[in-house]
Amino acid sequence: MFRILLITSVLSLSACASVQPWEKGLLAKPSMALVADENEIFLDEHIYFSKEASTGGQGVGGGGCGCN
Amino acid sequence: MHIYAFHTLMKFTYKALTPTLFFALLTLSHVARSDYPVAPEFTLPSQDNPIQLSKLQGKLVYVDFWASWCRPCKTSFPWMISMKEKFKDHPFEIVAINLDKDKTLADAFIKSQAINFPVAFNPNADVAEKYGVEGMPSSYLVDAHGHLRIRYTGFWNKSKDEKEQMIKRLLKQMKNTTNTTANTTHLVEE
Amino acid sequence: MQLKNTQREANLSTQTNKVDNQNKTSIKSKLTMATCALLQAGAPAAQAETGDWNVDAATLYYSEADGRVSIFEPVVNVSKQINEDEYLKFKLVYDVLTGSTPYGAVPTTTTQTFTKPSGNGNYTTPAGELPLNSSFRDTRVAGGVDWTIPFDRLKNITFGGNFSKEYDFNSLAASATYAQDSSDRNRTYTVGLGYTSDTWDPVGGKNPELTYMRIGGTDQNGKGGTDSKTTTDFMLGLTQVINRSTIMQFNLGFSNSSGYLTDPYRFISVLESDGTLTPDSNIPTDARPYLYEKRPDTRSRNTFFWRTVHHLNEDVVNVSYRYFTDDWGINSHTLDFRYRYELGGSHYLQPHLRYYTQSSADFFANYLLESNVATTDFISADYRLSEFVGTTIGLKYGFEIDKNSEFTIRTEFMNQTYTVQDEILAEQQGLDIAPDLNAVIFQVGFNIHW
Repeated sequence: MFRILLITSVLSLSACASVQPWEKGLLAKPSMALVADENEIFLDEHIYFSKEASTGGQGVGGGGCGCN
Repeated sequence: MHIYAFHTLMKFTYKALTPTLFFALLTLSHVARSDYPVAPEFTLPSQDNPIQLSKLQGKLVYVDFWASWCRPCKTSFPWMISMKEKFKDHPFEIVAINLDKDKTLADAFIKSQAINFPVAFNPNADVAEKYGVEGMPSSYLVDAHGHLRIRYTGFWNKSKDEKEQMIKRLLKQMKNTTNTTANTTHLVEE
Repeated sequence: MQLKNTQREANLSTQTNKVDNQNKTSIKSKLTMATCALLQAGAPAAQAETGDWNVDAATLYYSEADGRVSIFEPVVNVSKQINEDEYLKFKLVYDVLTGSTPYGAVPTTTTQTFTKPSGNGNYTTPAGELPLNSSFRDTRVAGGVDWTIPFDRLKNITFGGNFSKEYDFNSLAASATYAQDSSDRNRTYTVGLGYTSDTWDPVGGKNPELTYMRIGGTDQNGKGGTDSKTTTDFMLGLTQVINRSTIMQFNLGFSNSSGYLTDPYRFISVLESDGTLTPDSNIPTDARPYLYEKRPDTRSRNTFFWRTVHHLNEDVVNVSYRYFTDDWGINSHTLDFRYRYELGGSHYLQPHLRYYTQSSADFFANYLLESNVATTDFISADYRLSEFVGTTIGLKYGFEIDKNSEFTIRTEFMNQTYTVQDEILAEQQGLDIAPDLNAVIFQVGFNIHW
């Protein structure tokens, strides 16, 4: 299962365009953050980690305007 | 343990895709002027008259590429404003080139600042492309002869002093050159 | 619109105090919390001008139907930008838990009596009802710090520390995450390592695994003592800008736990083949027909996580998928979908859908036949290890109070529907041995930055 997921991911990455630094206006919006509301995700994770057998996954990501 | 990032001062990368060549130069040892690449010319609309780079020849020009959605770009404005004020009696100009696709967002920011230099608009970013902008913001110092002397990618508070020193140094160089009768000097009086 | 996250988001590791729920049921089965040392709920750093502050506060009210668990949980995050690329962040959480939880017994047509976790008293469940252990008010405090330090424009490292403390459980965790951007900043690579150490000091001490519960007030057959477990986490991540309006994230997580992974309060009903509780003649003197559970002392977990955020004309879609698998036989799929619908002006509505399915643990059972007790090595009737489908549907509303602050409110409904794994015996015919869980989630949030 893991292998299938990995291959699909790599394939989807090949669809990327190279975005120029000045084209990142939309990506810079707060609503475009990978996690726009940190507390919401934190509290949800608390609930689901306590009520389900699965844990983890989210990690930390990049993105945003890529400034500086 | 505190690791300091020392942000790049003087790196130019060879741009295969654009007609301009950028060289990496660190010191101000005596280098023939032709070793510095020529700053790409541009004519861009502004809030008043169009801004043409060649018309600014003879001055040290700080060209800054920015956008309203870029936080460090906005942080750099108070500093640029203070630089323009500080060097107002020197042949020093700042041109801030805005790259917002939506001009209204740029206008809103401009209104909030007491900007004492022209802001040009380049929504299709072709000038940014010519200058090989690799990050937001990017700023360039163009000397009196229209050559690119240095590029800064990003804006950091801790390198403000260093940039100010560079401006002073280049202004001094310009002054020394004009005081001699070097035949390569060609000043255009405005 | 507040520019909360305009800078590199990679850098702030946020550690959710989350619990390995296998282990954390306090006396009254609250939402267990342990610390996951690895950057979780990966919220990017709140962006601010140098020297600026960002405060995010929220309060959760979670309530299950049928007199089960309720939680009240305020949380506050304060983050300060020290330099353009350096951040410090503090988090403090407080939660209060009330209500009752099933400890693993199945209903029967007779009244059932159980021993309280302290070993000193007993409580009863009426005939035909799902046995629940009622909690008293319990409180927990947790917090953490994250410090992001840049190496240069493209690289940084984040160090995190977390703690969680309640009367029967403590957790300490540390983590380090390294993030590196490609030169065009369209891609970010992250590598993270975490270490968590948890200690259990259960009320009444640990239940001796795979032994029968003893009547309250009598000799508790060695019940007692504390124990601990440690977890090591490793994570690899990749964030990729796909185009001007789309970004994707992929994470691979590997986690290993070892130590005391059993739930110190849970047990399983020991039944005859007709579903009645096994008689006294089959169990020791002063014992009850419930066997304390036992789980393996190691657990290895792997996750694959994928998220896409896409900007439409005005609205934003945020969808994620997680695949989880471990060596206890549990596999799960989580699909999460949020659609931010801009209302124009400075407010929005955001519907949310979450769909979750999991398989049961190898050693999960709804009940244990007395004839199988002798050959059982691991067993648990914890419904959270069973096969089930969880669905959540919710709606959030947010609005900008002014250019520096925002208010949000959300309401969600969660349902868990369980698959009964073992044959329903005569005694339990007509009884629901795995009733649905229904809960309401309500949260208000406030953000201010200056």
